Amino acid sequence: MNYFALLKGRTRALLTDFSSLAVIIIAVAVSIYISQYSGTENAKGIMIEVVNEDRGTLGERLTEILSYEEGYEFEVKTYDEAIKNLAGNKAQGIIEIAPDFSEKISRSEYESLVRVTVMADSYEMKTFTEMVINDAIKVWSEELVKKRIGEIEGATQDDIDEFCENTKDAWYTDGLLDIVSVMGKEDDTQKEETFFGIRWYAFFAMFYLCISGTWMCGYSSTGLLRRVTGRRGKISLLFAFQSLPGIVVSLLGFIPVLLTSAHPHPVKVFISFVIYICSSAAFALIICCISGKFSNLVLISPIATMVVSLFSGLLCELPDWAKVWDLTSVIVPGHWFYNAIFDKRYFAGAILVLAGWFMTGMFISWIFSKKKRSE
Amino acid sequence: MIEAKGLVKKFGKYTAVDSISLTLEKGEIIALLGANGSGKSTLLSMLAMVLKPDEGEVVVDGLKGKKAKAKIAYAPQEIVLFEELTVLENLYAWSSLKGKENVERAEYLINELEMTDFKRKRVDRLSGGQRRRVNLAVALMGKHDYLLLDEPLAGIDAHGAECVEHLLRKEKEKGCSMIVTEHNPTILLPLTDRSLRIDGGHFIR
Amino acid sequence: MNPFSFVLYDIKRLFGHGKTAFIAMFSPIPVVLMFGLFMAPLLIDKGDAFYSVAILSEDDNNRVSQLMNIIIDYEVKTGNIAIYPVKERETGEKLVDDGKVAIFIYIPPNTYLDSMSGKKAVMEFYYSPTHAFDALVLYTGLKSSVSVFGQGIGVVDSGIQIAQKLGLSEDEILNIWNEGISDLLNLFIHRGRVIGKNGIFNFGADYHFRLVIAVLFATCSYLSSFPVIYLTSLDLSETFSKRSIPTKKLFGYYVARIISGAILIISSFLIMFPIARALRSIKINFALSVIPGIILTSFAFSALAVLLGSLFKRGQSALWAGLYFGTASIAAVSFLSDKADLPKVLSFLMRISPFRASVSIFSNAMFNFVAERYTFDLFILFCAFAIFSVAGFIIYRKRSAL
Repeated sequence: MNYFALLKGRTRALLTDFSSLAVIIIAVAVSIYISQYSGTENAKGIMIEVVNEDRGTLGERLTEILSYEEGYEFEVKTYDEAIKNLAGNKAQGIIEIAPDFSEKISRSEYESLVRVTVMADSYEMKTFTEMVINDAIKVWSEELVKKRIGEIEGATQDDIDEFCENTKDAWYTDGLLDIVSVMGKEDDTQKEETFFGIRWYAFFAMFYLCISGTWMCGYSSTGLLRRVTGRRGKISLLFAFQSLPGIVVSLLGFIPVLLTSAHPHPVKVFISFVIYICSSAAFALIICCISGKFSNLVLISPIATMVVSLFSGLLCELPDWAKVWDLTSVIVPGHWFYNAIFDKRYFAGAILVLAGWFMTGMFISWIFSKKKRSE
Repeated sequence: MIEAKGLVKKFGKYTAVDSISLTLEKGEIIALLGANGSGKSTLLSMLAMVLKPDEGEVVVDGLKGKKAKAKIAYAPQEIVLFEELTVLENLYAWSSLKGKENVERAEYLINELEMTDFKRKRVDRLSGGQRRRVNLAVALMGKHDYLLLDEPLAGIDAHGAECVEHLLRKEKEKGCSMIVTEHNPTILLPLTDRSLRIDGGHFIR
Repeated sequence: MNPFSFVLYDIKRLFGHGKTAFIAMFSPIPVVLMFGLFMAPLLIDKGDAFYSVAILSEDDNNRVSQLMNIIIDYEVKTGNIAIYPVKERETGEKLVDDGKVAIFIYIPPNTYLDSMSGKKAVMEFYYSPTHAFDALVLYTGLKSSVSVFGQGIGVVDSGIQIAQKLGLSEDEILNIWNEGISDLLNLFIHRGRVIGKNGIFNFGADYHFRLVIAVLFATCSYLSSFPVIYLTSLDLSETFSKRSIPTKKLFGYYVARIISGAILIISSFLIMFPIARALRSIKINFALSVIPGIILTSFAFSALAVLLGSLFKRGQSALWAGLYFGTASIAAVSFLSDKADLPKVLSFLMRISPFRASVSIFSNAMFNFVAERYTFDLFILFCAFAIFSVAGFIIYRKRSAL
């Protein structure tokens, strides 16, 4: 059997399949973007409507304090305007300052000073309500202290004004009490760099191999493998030569991602990626055999690659209660690639996993082809 | 009458049909003969108005467009059926799509084409010959004055071919005009009034 | 023929065309379960405490301890936290390292005194890496409350400076200071009541859950429309192009396809929704308000699927287009829909996006009903359905005709 002709044909088919090539191009672009601009992104520019119905002056003070909060843009509107903007997705929240806001504060009545409506379809809004409560507390704190000053014999309005002037920026400075988090000693390697760019590229590359693998669907849905073995060909070599172009494309895409990630051990990571991508090709074979045709593959492959990548920690860190998944994910190629990225032992495990998936892939494709024959 | 004038169809640089004119009179049956790739199917598709010619036009009883198309029943060479439905469901569905559901006509065709044994079977589980019969039956559901059949006997056994011939004869007796393409004209030639041979996109004498 | 027969035949075709429809319908299950596994700690509403917290205060003054107790007490009462006082710092750290407690809060000596004298005092929140997910939820709430309290101390300090200027004695100043701090502590006891809720903090901590589950609903329902994309493309390129069908009948078949597609998508919702409710108990009146959203989303996505299928000659190309379009839409909704600084065109597209409307309906209608937004989102979905249907039929008709 002329395996090099197969290689040539598969290369040509792959390079002219722009639909699947776009996956790798997008993967490279997204991964480089993540490497360059990763880090916590503040909630920038979320529009919030403020409806100040307060009959007193404290509502304005609350609005002023709110306006300094980073991550949000506040505009003062009437209720009707505010709800219209919220409904039309021009705003993501409404803060309604009650008409008796100032009165209640002066009477030390805590109940429902502020009404907060938050549209939950924004991830960044999860700390919004806390922020509003804190700012209301700030206004109240000022009033309490002013009251105490007012009770001092000889205190005049000038003294209160001086106090207001001194505390104008108090809420924008560091407080005198703070709490810091310290992680325990179990995990010594506190990761400063997450290398999400590399990790996400690995996920995309596995997805690419699955989704561009319609030729592997043919292993299960046609008599191709029987014909190959009938001509004394080897399925393993057939698969190896035909999957090589896809592996090479993935490796080529990985190079710019690796370079932009500035990983301290690029050679090690590259070698581990080679092993990872070969294992992914075998995994893709199994997915494609199970799918049988493209219409199934387009549904199964994103879910399968997402599950596998999630449990190996490539997409995001596993929650710490879910360490059992970390243990079971040793059978998944991504687990060893993750280890390689963070300078842990990986080589033996990765090779074993590669061998395991390769043999499993051969076995499953053979089983499916036999099943097709018996049909 | 179907009148086709100067029909031309090209696929890239390849000319499949090269300036063919043809007239099908009322009640006439024409056999269109030719080897593989001679242009029979392309010509028939244009006459059935499922393929737009690059040049030329087709006029049916003085009509063009949708009204002309409504007078023609076409059985393509490819099996065009709803694979997931049964034979009976296909007949009902296609007849409803074309006009009105006609249960009697469906039963009549099932009997004529001897499909009773598998009428409740899914089309994708039938043999090639069985599917060909269903393909033909679907074309014959609904009202038509002209029948265009592209290789209606492909893959059908001898007995099946006789059933088809018998059915087409009955259609002829009802006044239906036909153009039939076929590789092996033995069974259908006795039915036809004249035959035309096509090669390389032209008629040859 | 009964008009519903077309729909029944089409459903049979959708489900009879290989395993695709079944995969589409059941694919939400692994996705929702996977999500549920990741979110498991947040989903445990009742039952035994799942935080265990060791606490040590070496501060002689009990004011700061009072603050911590105020904050943590509510969580203790609701059974979310179990408190273990310890006598030594090393003991607390060891308990964390041995995995016996999740968190150790340490208040150093002179914390209150330092903050009184204008020096910043810092407490420690020592947590186990194996419990980081839970611990950091508590830490976020604690930190925001403590830092506001710390800033409040600065404000009290400004008041003290005025009192000093007015010539009060040291005892009087100390009295004012203590009363000021008591005022602050009182505020924190009633913190939640400011917005009319019980509890001290972490209101809205589960918003990411709400958003994620809404995005999952929208994504899975979109994926469920893939068989419709594929079958429509096949019908047009292989079936209807070869058989003449009158426009009126074609319209009937087109409508039947949209209906059968919507039924397929609704089926996947019927599988997703109970699982989501089981993961997180959603109030039934809110749950019912989701039903119109489910129906309209199904029809809108079905019409979109038929439009996509009509646009492409090959089934595979249509699926690719569906995949890219869906990915781009969902990514845009996840990352851009709340941003105010987008270009105008993008901002407008986000507002009228049926994906965004769908995500918004699910997250808001299930958890936080705002009638005006709900109505607007339903309107968007309805308009999307109308536009996709009309555009789809125009192309459908053109491709199925000569």
